[in-house]
Amino acid sequence: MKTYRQWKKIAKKIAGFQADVILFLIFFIVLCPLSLLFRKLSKNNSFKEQNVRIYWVKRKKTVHDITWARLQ
Amino acid sequence: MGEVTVVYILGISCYYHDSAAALIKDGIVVACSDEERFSRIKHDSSFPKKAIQFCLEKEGITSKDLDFVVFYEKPFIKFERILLTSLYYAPKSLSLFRESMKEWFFDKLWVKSHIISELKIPSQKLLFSEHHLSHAASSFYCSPFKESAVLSIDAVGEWTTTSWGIAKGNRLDLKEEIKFPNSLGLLYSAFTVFAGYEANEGEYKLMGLAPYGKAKYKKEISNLIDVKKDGSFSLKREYFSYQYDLTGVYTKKFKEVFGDRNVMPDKVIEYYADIAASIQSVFEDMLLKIVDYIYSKTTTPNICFAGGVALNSKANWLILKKTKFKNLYIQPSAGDSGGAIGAGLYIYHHVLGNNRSYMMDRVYFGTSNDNNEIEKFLLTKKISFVKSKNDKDLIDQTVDVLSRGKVVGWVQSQAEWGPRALGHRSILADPRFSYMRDIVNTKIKFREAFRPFAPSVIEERADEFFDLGPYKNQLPLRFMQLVVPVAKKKRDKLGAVTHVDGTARPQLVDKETNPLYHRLIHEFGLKTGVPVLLNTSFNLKGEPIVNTYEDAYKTFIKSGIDVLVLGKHIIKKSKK
Ligand SMILES: [Fe+2]
Repeated sequence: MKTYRQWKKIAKKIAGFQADVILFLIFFIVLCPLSLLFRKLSKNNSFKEQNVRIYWVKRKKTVHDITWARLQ
Repeated sequence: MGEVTVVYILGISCYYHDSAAALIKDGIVVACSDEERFSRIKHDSSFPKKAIQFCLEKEGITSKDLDFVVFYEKPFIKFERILLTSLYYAPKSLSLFRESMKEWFFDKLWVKSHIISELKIPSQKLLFSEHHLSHAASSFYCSPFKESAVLSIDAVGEWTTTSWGIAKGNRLDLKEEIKFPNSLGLLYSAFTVFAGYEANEGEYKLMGLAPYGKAKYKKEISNLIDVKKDGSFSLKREYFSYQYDLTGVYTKKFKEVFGDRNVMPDKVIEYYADIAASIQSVFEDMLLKIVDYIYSKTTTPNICFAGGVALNSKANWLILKKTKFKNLYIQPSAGDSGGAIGAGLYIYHHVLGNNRSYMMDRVYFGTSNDNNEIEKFLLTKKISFVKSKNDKDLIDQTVDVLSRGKVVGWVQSQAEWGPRALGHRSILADPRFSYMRDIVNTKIKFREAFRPFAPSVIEERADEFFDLGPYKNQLPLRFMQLVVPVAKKKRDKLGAVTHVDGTARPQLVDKETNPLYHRLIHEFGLKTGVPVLLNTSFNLKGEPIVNTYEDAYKTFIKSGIDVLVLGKHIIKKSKK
């Protein structure tokens, strides 16, 4: 039992390290180039709004029923 | 005869800070609690398993009896914000991306399956509100107003940081919003960090520090923000890094203007006190502009305020004093934990179309302590105690020790909902002498000496001691949500609870919702001439407020509290 718990601890650390490495690679290989591309071409409002001065935005009129409430 | 059907909705808020659960029965809140009260981890953000269990057990039901379970926000939209922000700010956003992705992939993205498997409910019963709708609903549907303007401001929800709307009957419609990264909450948090405190934790401290300083740096702070006449605002990105950095909140450019972070936050240092006064003042100006704008768009004298920013009790008072709104309501747990109530009530009223009949005018929804259990505990642990004969005896004995300058831990019936101890899980002391503040600070709370303590006063005599003007009946005064001026003539009688600027954050205690506590303060008033008590939350620095009698006893032993009152039982600290 003790060995299992110790192994679990080590496995968690290895998994954390692996996740760090994978995310690091995804970030520089995928995200950074995509970021450059998006900044040039983006029509996505939420994306563009990151660096534009925006003030009050009217909320979209949507019906808030059970179907809306099921959306995550 | 047809069967009477009851609708049970469980609201859940978690995974950011202050997770909580709330059980709503036919639109009435029957149980709610923060998870931290059970887990004993301050600001616990984990799934509120114990708080849920408490709510269900209190009502004597199981998760099978729930009609709906509502999560307080839309996780996928929040995830979209984090992903897009990481993408936009790459390569600066490496830390945000790495940490957030780990959090989201291991936990937050699976909210749905997590709730379903924990509660064993069918997926059709699980619903999702929106963060700011939950905030706004938590205030309006608990308020006494039939119609009201609603305002919700916090750090950030999914994308929204500020929103306002109009609510009438059972409908609540948000009209306009300001989006991330423009955030009044995050602006205040940036200066909280700069003043040496922790974001999401130290904002109270910054507010408490502000009266020691002069608002000398308003111009410099205003230069970081574009504010329009309608109160909307945009933060200049070059000064802030919270958008892309999990470890920092402001940039080098910010430091070039304001210098280095305070390294002695426990002390009052003139420069940082001036900064605190300045940001508080800028913040108040911005908030009042927003409120004025909302008033111009609505036709109601009522406003419901929600979100973490509504915990700024100095600014809250100004909404009443300086804007045209006549009535203000703030749900006692205005921050994210309150979202659990709001999410449930929004579904019950707005989505399902049910009428309203509820008002939250009290806060005692938490864990209850039974006198028999307390006695059993004391006997088992061989703790010597005196059992009072009746309420009068209990009150006489407590008043006697309080008026002799002793500090009392006071635990009665159900725990409070929200961040304030309102006479059920409180540390009490004589408010007349300023040295009592130092005693409570150094012997018990171990917190920054400059922070003020709040008073509890009996409602019928509140305006003798505080300049309340026409606002005496506002419910936020019952929940300690407004900082008001102490009457000039009484300041020397309230030395321990009057802040350096002559203000205090009183709790008005009424007979109906809080009879025992009311009687205690009343009797203290008869003995001393001051029907006021110093009331601070029953916890040590860095710990959540005590929940059970066992927590209370542990805290009593670890601290310098002289006398502990657990229900009917009085325990005096033995002199060793
Ligand atoms: Fe929030």
